[in-house]
Parts: sequence; structure tokens; C-alpha cells
Amino acid sequence: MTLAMNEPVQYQFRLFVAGDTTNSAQAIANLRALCRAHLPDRHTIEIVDVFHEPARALADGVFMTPTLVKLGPLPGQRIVGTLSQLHAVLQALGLGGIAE
Amino acid sequence: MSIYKPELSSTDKASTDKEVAALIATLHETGRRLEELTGGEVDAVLGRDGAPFVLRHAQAELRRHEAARQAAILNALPAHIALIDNQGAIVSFNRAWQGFAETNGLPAPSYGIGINYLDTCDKACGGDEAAEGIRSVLAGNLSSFAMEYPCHSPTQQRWFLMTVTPSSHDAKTGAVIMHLNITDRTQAELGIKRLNRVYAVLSEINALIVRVHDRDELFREACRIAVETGGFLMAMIGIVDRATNKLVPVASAGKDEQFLTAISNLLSSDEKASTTMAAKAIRNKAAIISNDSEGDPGALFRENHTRARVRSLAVLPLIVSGEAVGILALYAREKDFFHDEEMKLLTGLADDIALAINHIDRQERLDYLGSYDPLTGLANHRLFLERLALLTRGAADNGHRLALFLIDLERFKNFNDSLGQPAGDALLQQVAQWLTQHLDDVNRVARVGADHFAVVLPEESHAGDAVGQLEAMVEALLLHPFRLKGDVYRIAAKFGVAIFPDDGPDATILFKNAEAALKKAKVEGHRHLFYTQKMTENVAQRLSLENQLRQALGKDEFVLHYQPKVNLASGEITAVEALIRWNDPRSGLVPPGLFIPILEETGLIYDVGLWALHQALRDYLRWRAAGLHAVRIAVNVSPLQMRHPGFVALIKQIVASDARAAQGLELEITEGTIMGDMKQAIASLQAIRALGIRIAIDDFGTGFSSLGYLSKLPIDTLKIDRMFVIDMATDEQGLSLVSTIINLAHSLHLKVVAEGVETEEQSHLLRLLKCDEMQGYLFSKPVPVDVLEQQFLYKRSGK
Repeated sequence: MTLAMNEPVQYQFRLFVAGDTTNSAQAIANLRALCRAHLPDRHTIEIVDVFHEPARALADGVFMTPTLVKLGPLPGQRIVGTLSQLHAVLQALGLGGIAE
Repeated sequence: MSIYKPELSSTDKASTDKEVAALIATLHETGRRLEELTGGEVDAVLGRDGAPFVLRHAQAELRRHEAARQAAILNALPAHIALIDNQGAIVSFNRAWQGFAETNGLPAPSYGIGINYLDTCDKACGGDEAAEGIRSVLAGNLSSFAMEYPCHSPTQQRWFLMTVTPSSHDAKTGAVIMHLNITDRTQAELGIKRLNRVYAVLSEINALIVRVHDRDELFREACRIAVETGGFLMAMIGIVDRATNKLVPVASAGKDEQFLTAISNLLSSDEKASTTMAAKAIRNKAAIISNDSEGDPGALFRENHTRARVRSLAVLPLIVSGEAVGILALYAREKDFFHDEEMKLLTGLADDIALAINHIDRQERLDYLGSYDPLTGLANHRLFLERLALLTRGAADNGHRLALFLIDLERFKNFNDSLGQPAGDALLQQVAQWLTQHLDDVNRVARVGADHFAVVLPEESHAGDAVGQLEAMVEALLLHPFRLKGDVYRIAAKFGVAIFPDDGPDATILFKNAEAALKKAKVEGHRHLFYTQKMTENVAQRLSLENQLRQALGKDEFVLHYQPKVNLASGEITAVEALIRWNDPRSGLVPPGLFIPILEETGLIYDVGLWALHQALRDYLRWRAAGLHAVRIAVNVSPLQMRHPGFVALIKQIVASDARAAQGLELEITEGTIMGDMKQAIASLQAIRALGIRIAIDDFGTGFSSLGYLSKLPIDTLKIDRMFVIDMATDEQGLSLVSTIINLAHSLHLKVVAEGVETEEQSHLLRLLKCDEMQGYLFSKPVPVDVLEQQFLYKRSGK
């Protein structure tokens, strides 16, 4: 238990995008910037292109792009949009404390 | 931005899905509202089946983006690119494409959108290959196509690479055409090739300059090298004639007559000559080039150049001691050939040629003084040694011998003292003249000392040649009347002889040894002496033998001996072989091995052979007339006789003397005689055989031993060489060989005679092998005709 406490929490994201569309591209860029700044070395990002893998969007209940799904740590969360409002996103992800 | 966060718990997931699905269904109909609702931050929504639906604004943006990006990429490329549809019509093109068309003044309809590019190619000169390539790609027969082509503008030489690739996996949708300007690369390649050509010319001509000692050869070869190695269309060297101050072409290569004549005319014309490039090059002592001789107003010769396909030319002055003595003109079939680098090399080349001219000029003057004897005009010692060195090298290459004679005029000093030096000089001049005439080649004679001359003669194969030539020269010299001050004098000389390579491996040693031989000849009082003592002896012996043999025929010293051939089955004499013997009055009968080779070498064999034929025939006819057992006589025929064109006619003439003559003769020839010119030999043999004379192959098995050729020959008899007969009795292989020969001969219907049979055992074996006849000491050695008659030919009638 002691060991687990000392381990940094890993953030696991899945971002659904629609090809090269502008908003999707922005969402990817914003997510990467956010992770680099606030979650260095403790995040994984998976990008899913709905043009290529529509079935996975269905499986995850995603109906719009771009949609960010936080798979871990629980509780899970989803955010739709370009993720450009950094403060709101950090709050939503429960990272508000870190941002300050 | 909109955030909603029902967690992904399975219970409320279903209800949320349902709600969202209902919402989406509405949104699908009102995409605009969705965009408003999502603040423009959403690109796509997904249908119930997961199929994404891109919102309109995102879609438009995506398209705009994509098109802009592609256009940017295409426009950034230096290559001229166009897309064509599957019919060849241009669908789009990049800026470079348009730029090229515009700067080259192409009318818009020939490159713009909608134009059929295949038509454009078809119309363009040399565009067939391009059109063909494009069609193949459009039809899916080629996965891609590329070709390099020149496309020179009026001002510039250009090369392009065209590639054609399908615009998608399915070629039927069209293709991408790209033209890339590869002029720089191509020019660099051409430049390197051009420079390499000039380098090659330079190095070959420099090698030539070292080698050559003659102006004409230098000029001729230099021009030839420029054309053959340098790939120049033509090359010409002209020299200024000091008398007329005009340039005269002295050598050229690759040039057609018409062009050369035109140049000569131009150069010799008074008014125009001074305006030629050549004249300018000489005046300014500087190279002049015209890299576009068709368009250059400075080149007077435009039409002639065009006709001769000259596209550029360079005229380089040849400067000797600060004076332009001539020009080297090089004509290239390529436009723009002479660049700085080439000119640097070629100027160096012209300097080298000028240097060689200067060197040869000086050398020629020095050469004459240093190489010739002013009194007789013959080569002096030094030049003769040089020539001898050349001849020895040539002889070594060809495997020939050379005979060097050094000639010392006897008692010349007395002659000089008593008649005066002018008379002595006159005599030397006459001897020089006589030697030159006698040899018919002034380059083989030299005066190498006050009263010493040297002569070098080629020898075909053996030392005998030199001996004959020496004898002839000695005799002729002795007989020649030299006239001085109204009196006739005869000159005797002593000869020292050295043979190359036997007596010396090079000119210097050979000469030294000939001198030594001459010195010895003078001391010992010989008329001539060879450097090698044994040779002198051999030659002396041989000479006397030869002389005696020459006389032997006239003196009736040759006789025929006969050796009987016996039928192995019946034991009866069936024929005889005639063998020539020389009855030397001094030493008695000479063994054939000692004189037959000399007869052959000297050609005497022809006359002696003829005598033998006549004699044999006389004997045969006499036997018949006398009622003796007249057997056929086999006479040996030498290769020399067989090859003589009149031989067959001669035989005809001989047998025509008597109707029974032909049946009394058989000719024995060796394999070697036939092998030389088999066709001619067969024809001769057929003609002889048609007369009724039989033909036998002598010494069978010693020559080429080709059993295969036997069947082709018109012959009657095969004589097995004595060596086989000897081997037959000693080992099994020998026996089977003889057996094979006999069987083969029989299968070809040839009679077989075994030669050299000396033992009963051999005779027994031959009988077993069904050999027809034998000849040898066992039965009888060759015997004089009277013995033959008494012992063998009387037999039948005697018993």
C-alpha cells in the first residue's frame, strides 16, 4: 500500500477525432500541451479516428468529435470540444489544484 | 465548449445513449443548429451505425485545407507538373508548368486546362515516344514511364526528364505528368565526357611526340588521334609557307574532300585569307574558338560548316620560338564544345606539338650531319647501328634471323697511295653505289669506316640463306669492273659475318662480333669468316657439298638403287622402290641422310627428282623390252615437286613417251606433302592417277596420323612406317595399332605395304594381320639395278 501511495497517478486518455478536421487537430494539440505541462511522464494518449474506427466510437458511446474520454484514474469523464479553455478542462479533469 | 459528465456506468449508459441518439437524429436534420450549439467546436457527429457525419463548416474547411495544401506542395516543386485525365486532357497543373509555358512563349491553348496533352505530344517533334509512354500508363500497361530528352531553346541547351505515373492505384483515372529540368546534370555529364576526350587526345599525342621523328608523321598522326580518339569530326594542321606567307593545310583527318578544298581555296585567296579564324589565330598568336559555327558571324565558313555538320571549332596557333608557324584546327560536331577547361588542355597540346616541330626541325639538320657519310651518302656507323637495332627488334618479333656482313676492301690503302686520294674516294663512292644496287635497299648499307662497309640482310629461316647471299655477293663483287681514270679495277674484299640472334642478342654486340670475325678473317687469310667457328666450318662443308651436288647431276653421279617389295602371301616380288644414291667420285656412295636434306633446302631436289623419274622409267621400259619380270617402280616425290604448278603436266609429258610407261610407275608421297594444301594436292593426285600411275602414301603414321583424311585421298597404297613395324613385335599396343591400320586401309580398298621388315617374326605377324606386301632387309636391301635384274627379275623367266 505504501508503495502504491508513492507511485504517481497515471492519466489515461482516449481522444476521438474526425480525420484532419480543424477542431480535431486543435483538440489533439491542446491535449498534448496540457499533458506536457501538467502530467509529465504520467499520461498515455490514444487517438482514435472515427473515420477509420467508427465501431470504437459506438462502443465508447461517443457521438461527436472531438471527444476526450478520461479512462483513468476513475471516475471516468468525457469532454467534447477543442479543449482550448485550459482552466475549465483542468477543473473538469480534477487537476484544478495543480494548475494553480 | 460543452462538458457533460455522466460516468460510463452501464446502467444509465443505455438511457443516455437513447437520449443522445434521439438528439442526434434531430441534429442530423439541423446540422446548422448543432454547430451553433457546440460553438463550432465539433467537427463530426456519428450516426447510429457509427458512421461519421462531418459537419458542413468542417467539411468545407477540410476541402479548402486539402486543396490549398496540395496546391502549395505542387507549386513548391521545381518540376513542371500536370494532372491529366484518362483521355489525356489536362485537369490541373502547377506554377512551374505554367511558368515554363509562358516563358517559352507557348500559346495558352497548348498547355492549359482541358487541352489534350497527348495531342500536344503527338505534334511535338520527337514526342512520339512520350505520347506512347503516357498512353501505356493510362492503359495500365506500364506502372510508370520515364524518358530523358533534349529541348533546346533558341538561346540555351536544355535537357528534361519526363515521368508519368498513375494518379491513383487505378490508372484509368488519369496520370501525373512531370517534366524536370536536368540540364545541369546533363551538362555536367557531357562536360566530363568532353574533357575526358580531350585528355585522351592529349595523352596519345604526347606519346606520339616522344615516338615520332618525322614532321609529316607527327602531323598526320596527331590529326588521326584527334578524330579517332577525341571524337572530333575533323582535325587539320596547317603550316605557314614562308615564301608566300600563306597557310597551307599539311595534314588532316576526318575531313571530306569538298571541305578541305574549300578551306585550301579560302586560305590561298588573296583578299579573304587574312580574315579567316586561322589567320587571326596566327596574327594574334592566340586560340580562337567559335562555339556556334552556324550562328557565329566571325566564322566565314558558315555554309561549309553546316554542310559538314560542324557545330563548333577551335583554331590554335602553333608557336615556335615566339613565331606562329601554323595552326591546329579542331572541328566538333557538338555545339558549345570548347570551354575554358578544354581550351586550357588544347592550348597545352598545341604547345607540345609546336615543341615537337621545333625539335624535329633541329633533329633533322643534326641527323643528316650526324648520321650520314658525306662522301658516299650512305648511313654512317651511328645511324647504321640505330637501324640495325630496329631491324633486330623486328626480327626478334617475327622470329627471323639477320645476317650482318662487315666488308673490308682489300689493299685499299695501296690503292689510295698509288692512285691518289681522289681516285680512292671515287672508288669508295662506286663501291657504295654497287652495294646499294646489289641489295636494292639503301637502308641496309652503310659506310662504317675508312674502307669498311656494313650490310644487313634478312634471313627467312636458317643460316643457309646468309651463306648463299654471301657467296653471291663475294662473287659478284669480284667480277664487277670498277672504272677509275679510264682503267678497270677488280676489288677483292674480306667479310666478317655475325648472325642475329645466334651471335649477339642486340645490334651493338652483333656488330662487335662481326668486327671480330672480320679481324680474324684478315689475320687468318680467309675470304670470309663467321663469328661462330662451328658455323664457319658447317658453312664451308655445306657449301662444298652444295657445290658438288649441283655438279653431280651434270656429271651423272646420281644412281638409283631398288628395293624389292614382296607379296606376303605368295613370296613373289610385286614391285620395287627406287632410292637415289650419290656416287661421289672422291668418297664413294654418300648416305642419303647426308645429301637429301641439302637437295631439298637448295631446291635441287626438283631436278634430281625429275631425273629419278626419267631413270626409273627408262629401267622399267628396258626390263619390258628385255622380257624381264618388269615390276612397277615406286619413285619418291618431294613436297617441293608436288607443289610445283607444272608438276602434273611434266608427269603427263614423261608418261606420254611410251604407252606402257604409266603402268610401270607408282609415286610415293608423304603425309606432309598433302596436308599443306589438301585441295590442290588431291586435284594433282587425281590427275596423275587418271594417267594410270599409282599413288602410295609413304611413312604412314609419322605425319598427321589422321586416319579420317585417308578416305578423301585418291590413293592406291599405304606404306606403314618402319617404326610401327618395329613396335609391333615388341609390344601389344604396337601390334593392335598395325592391325588397325591394315584393317582400315583394307576397308578403304587400299593395298598395305610394311616398310623396314627385318625379322622373320615381323614378317610372320604381318602375314597373320593380312598385310599385303613387305619391304625390308629381311628380303633384300636396296640394290643396284644390275643386281636387281640378276637376282630378282630373272627369277620367273630363269626358273
